[in-house]
Amino acid sequence: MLKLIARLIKVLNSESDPAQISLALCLSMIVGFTPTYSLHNIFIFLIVLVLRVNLSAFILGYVLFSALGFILDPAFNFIGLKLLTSTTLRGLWDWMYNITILRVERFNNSVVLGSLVVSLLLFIPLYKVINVGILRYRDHALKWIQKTRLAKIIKASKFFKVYRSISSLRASQ
Amino acid sequence: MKQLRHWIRLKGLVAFVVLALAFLGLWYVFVDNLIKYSIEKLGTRALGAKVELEKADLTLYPLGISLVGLKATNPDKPMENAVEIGKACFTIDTSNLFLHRTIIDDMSLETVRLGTPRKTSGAISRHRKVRKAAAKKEKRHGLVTTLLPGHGFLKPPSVEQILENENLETTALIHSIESDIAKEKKLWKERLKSLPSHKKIEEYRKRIKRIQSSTKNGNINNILANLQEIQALKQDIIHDISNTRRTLTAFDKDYTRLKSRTVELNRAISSDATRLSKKYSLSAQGLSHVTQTLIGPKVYTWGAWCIKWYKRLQPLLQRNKRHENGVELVKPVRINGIDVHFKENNPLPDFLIRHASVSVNTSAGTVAGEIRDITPDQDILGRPLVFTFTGRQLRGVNSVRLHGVLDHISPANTSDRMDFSLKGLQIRGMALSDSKDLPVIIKTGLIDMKGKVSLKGERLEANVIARLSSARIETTGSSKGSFLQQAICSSLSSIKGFWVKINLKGTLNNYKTSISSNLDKVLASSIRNAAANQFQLLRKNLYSAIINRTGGQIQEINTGLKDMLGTRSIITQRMGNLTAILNGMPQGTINNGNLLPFQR
Repeated sequence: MLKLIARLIKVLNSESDPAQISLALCLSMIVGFTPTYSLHNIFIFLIVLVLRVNLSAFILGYVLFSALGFILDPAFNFIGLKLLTSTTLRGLWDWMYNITILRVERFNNSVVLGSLVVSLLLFIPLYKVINVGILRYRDHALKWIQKTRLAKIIKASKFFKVYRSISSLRASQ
Repeated sequence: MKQLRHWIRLKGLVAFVVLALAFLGLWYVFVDNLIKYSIEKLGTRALGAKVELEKADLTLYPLGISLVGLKATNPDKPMENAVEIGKACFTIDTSNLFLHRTIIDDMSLETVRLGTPRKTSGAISRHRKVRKAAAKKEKRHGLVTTLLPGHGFLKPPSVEQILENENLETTALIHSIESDIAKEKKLWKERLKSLPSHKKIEEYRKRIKRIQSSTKNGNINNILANLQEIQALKQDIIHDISNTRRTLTAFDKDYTRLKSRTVELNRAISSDATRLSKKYSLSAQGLSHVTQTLIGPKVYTWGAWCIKWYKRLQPLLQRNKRHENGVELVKPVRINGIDVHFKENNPLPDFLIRHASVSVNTSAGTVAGEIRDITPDQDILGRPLVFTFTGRQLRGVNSVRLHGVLDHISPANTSDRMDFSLKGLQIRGMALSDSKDLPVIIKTGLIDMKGKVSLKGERLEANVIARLSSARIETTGSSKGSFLQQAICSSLSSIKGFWVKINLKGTLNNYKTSISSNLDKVLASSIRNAAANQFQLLRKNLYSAIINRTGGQIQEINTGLKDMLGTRSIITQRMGNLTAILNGMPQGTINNGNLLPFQR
């Protein structure tokens, strides 16, 4: 985990595209919030592997969003149930229910639908927020942080040694 | 192009394929153990006792599972398997599996055995407590049953036991009389205060003396004045005497009433003894239901066993469904959240076994059967569960047939029915009554039995008729038992055959059992005298026990009454004093102003 965080910080501090990190975190949100064994998650894993998104950010995001999803499950259940029992959407659900692939997706489960809808709604806003956040971090916060006493303490810590060792390893490759 | 290459990672596709294949490979290697673990875990949770499986094997084409050595512990007897299945094979509809439906087209259960012994206990700790509580409840219920009329008449409960459990009219009467006496005592204590006191009587005497002394002076004026005084005094005393007499009459009336209530006590003791003797010994009415008393407990046990297993299997027939805004909400067992079911073009249940062929191995041979349409969603399938089991030319039985329809298509209007027949069952050493007081064993005989059971909604009805022929009945312990037991034993020994009709009516949780038989008439005539003797003996013992138990309180009542007689003495004494004063007074009156002679 320590290595994972170190890798993420290294990517944050590097010149790599912020979109790769934001996209990885947004995709991890979908996998983390929704039940793992859902059909859409296989598709997400495929995207994560095929697209050049940051894997460390994805794995770390998955751990964080899974924990958050566990807490938010009752809310997902509530939202999903409200949507599934809504009379205005009945026609849509009836149509979807009779399509095999969507039944495999298990959209008719309150937690699956609730968590998927919430994560899809948050996807674009979160993507933009993280993107802006990374850029601002690189422009302003990074320089300021490096000067702080805390950063100096961290630099003297075991964590920083790990971070450095990864950096040097990458450099030698 | 460069931009695209910046975003696409072709190695990732290879990694995905490799990962997917690795996952599938691992799944295939471990799937048998996963199935075994799932069946054991879910089965144990559902049954409340250990479910064990020796081996599970998955075949991919056609998709099917075979299970070997499936054992389900009897939750009530942890050292016994309720059912043991040698081999179970079934094929699963693959296309429906993707829709999260388990549809089994054909299932075969081979070498099914019931009630096999276990080497180790199959109890699970969580359910042990629940069972203990249930057993405690049953035990308590059992104690009440033995004290109910008509049961245990062969050896009625002891006199002490009866008196412990019954409310006596005598005790109530004693309490009422005691409080009555206490109340009257208090009342009479107050009323005594209204009687002329000793002081007042002394005052009368002083007034007489005063009159006498002034008359001696011979002054005519004094004599006239005293005459008036004498008249007034006499009036006062007569008034007091009259009041005291009225008080005495009232007291006597109260006392007589209380005395007569104590006489009632004897009648109450006698009435209690008779009532309880009737209740706890075999009455004339009870004589016509000897069979019910003899085999009733056994029928009750069978009935309770069947109902318990029906309730356990009920989740297989119907599950609880909740509806909201016209759609069906179903709580799935294994994942969180709620599954909402919508209208389907071709609706099918989530779980369905279309056909299961079963062969049950019994000690008499193999009983083969088939079950169709096992599903908890009969309302979706639109067909009820139907089962048929038959066995012919078995060892010791000519034929067995069991057919039933469990119809839960309309959950609000369920209808389960089953009929069965058993022909030529050879009996050897079958206990007809397990009662310690009167064990009845059919040494040899042949039984033909048929019956119908129906449960429509909450309404349960079962009718069973059994005929025993070529019987040899043995009863033990007759020489040691009461004369009633001896009479029953002697009658039963000479019987060669009889029929029994059993009827169960009510609901699953509250049903009444009635059993009739031609055995009743035979037994009734032979045990009538014995029953009468038993009644008289119990009555006599109860009478003595009630007298012993209430003797102290009756003694207290008599003492209380005696105490009250003290009040009477006080009243009569006062009246005597007043009468004596009146009698000792000079006699005379004023009559039209003329002086009348008086003497001292």
